[in-house]
Amino acid sequence: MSVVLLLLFVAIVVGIGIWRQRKIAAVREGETIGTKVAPSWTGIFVHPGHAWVEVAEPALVAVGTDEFTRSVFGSVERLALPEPGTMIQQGGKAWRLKRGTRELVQTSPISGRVEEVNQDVVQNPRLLVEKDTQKNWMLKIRPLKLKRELRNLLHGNVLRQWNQAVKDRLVATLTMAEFPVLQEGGEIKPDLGDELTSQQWDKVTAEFFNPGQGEDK
Amino acid sequence: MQNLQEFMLFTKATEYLIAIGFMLIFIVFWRLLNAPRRPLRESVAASLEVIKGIFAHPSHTWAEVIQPNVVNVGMDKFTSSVFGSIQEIKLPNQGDRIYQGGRAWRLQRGERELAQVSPVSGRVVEVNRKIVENPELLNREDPERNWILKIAPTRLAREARNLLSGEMLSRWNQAAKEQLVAALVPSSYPVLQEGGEIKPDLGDELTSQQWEKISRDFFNVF
Repeated sequence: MSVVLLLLFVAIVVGIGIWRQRKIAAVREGETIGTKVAPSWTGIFVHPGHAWVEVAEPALVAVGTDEFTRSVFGSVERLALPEPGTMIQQGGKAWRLKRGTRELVQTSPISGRVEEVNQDVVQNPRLLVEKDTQKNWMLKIRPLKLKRELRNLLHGNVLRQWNQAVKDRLVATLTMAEFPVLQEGGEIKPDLGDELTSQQWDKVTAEFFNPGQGEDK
Repeated sequence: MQNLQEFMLFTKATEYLIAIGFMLIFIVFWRLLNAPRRPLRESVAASLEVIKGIFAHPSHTWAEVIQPNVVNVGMDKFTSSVFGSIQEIKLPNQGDRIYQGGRAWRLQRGERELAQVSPVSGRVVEVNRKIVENPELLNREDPERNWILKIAPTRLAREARNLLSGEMLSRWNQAAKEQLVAALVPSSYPVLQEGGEIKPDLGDELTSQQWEKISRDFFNVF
């Protein structure tokens, strides 16, 4: 009798647990789907750790690595992306780029569940040099708090200010470099990373890919 | 016979006690098993990392860690300069929960309004009453020394990675200043004061059209 009661008890506790989790997931899904794409959400939104988000529909956004990363990292040889179904957080680890001994872990620009992984870029990471976000996206994510998290990203005019700041800082960081950092027209050279030494790369990583480290006043 | 009865009673009672104990332990076990998991790196970082300095949100608010579990938040100098004299500030109440990227406070000056967002998530533990009673203090004194709210943060280590800090923050401020000057040319008044800083009362001279443009282009409003 005691054994039957115990088994019944275990089944009830497990059942309540599963029901609660499903309810939470349904509420989250409802929150996301209920949000409409605002007209001002066009274009890309960039995280200070140099990953972008593009809102195609409110229930699904594309994310990828920005042009600055592609320029300073150099040709990506391998990509380690999370599996579909993984939950990722804005400011949390998203993916890893590899090139010989050079590695870069980038943070996610948005929170949500990974719905799709771009197998084309996994198999051929050189596709990341494409400028078209339809081709160079890495993950499609079902966002959890889209509207609020987009406000934490750089967009429009603020993004232009940020890009200018990044370029100025890069030129100052690589001031002793024997190669030009900018190309004709003043943009960062798209294959700059291929010329960086490992010391220069370490410096660039510390300066540009570790947001939130702060400094003493 | 009586001894046997007592023995049976004792063993039955023990069995019940074991069953109840198991049930209690199972509840704890099940809750632990289903508790939301924090990535190891995050929890280690949160406990060990000392986050120092000013961290800025792209919409011109800042956060500064003053104690392991208290963060001062406020608005930056750029806001107080371009908004002009602040007549009223609407703040959340002590105990309210606010979120990174969610509404923090609203500034008012006649028809002019600006809702700013919080740079971190957490619970409001204190509101700066001095500023509520005299909002012009935000214009007169260095706003970066004038905290508006004290917040007990909930996800500081991860959220700090979404903010601007250090040298990149200075460069971004510089780029914003250059764009502001370009946006207000030609204007009938100087945008910068002696020394190259933005005039602290610039907002008082802006027309409503100029303010509309600046609030749209510089405060990440969308």
